[in-house]
Amino acid sequence: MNPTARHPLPWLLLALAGFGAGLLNGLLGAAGGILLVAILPRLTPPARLYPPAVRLGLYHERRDVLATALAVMLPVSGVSGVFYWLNGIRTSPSLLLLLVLPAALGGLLGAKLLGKLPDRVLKKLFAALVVASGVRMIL
Amino acid sequence: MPTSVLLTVLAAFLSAVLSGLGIGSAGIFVLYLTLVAGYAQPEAQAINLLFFLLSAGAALLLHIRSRKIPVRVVLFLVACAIPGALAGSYLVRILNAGLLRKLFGGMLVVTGLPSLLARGKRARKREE
Repeated sequence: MNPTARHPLPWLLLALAGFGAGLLNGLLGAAGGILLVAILPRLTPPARLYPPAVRLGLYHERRDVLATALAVMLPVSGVSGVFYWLNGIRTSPSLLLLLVLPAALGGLLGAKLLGKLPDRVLKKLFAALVVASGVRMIL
Repeated sequence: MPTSVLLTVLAAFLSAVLSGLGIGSAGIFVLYLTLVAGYAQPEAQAINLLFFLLSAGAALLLHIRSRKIPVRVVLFLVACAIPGALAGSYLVRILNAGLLRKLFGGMLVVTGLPSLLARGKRARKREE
């Protein structure tokens, strides 16, 4: 039997992951990307069993998954931001102006670093940051 | 320049670096805005969303050239995520800020702990 027939991309699970990421992003203003980074590699079958996964780019290295999550969360954050505004939750324009430069420069530096940091360092760095933030918010 | 402005710029820069790395800064900037800068949770979240647009937008310009991003899957996930974002943005009005914060914290611990505790392949090999 052709292995590709047994390992189609799980579109329904991908849809649930997308919905969940959007829900977190809308509800908490962040963290939808974390869900995608955690789930995407698990939803896609190994490339040797499902060659189209290679073409789709879903079973490449962690860095590609991180970039994919970023590409998804960018428009979703825009939509969440619009809904926040429509719901009357406004932000200070002067603060946003102050943030433009550090946001752009930091984003570019992060993108450069993604290609240079070892995989295990990336993984541990994010995990430590995520857990420390979580504990502090619960207490 | 007042210290608070410098601190905000520094926090924004560091959070943006993490955003550029790809997991959306894990809400670190929301933490800074609520715990240090004194913003209410919903407003801090709104600021973080717009901040993310700037930092992730800049990072994506580089990622598009150097990474394999599956456009079809991205579009599918975005289409599924937008109804979720709508629902979440509506719920944020109903739930109170304290509950949101604890929910956020719990979710961060649950997502981060498995990766933090997982041992690397090298450590496992050494033990074998």
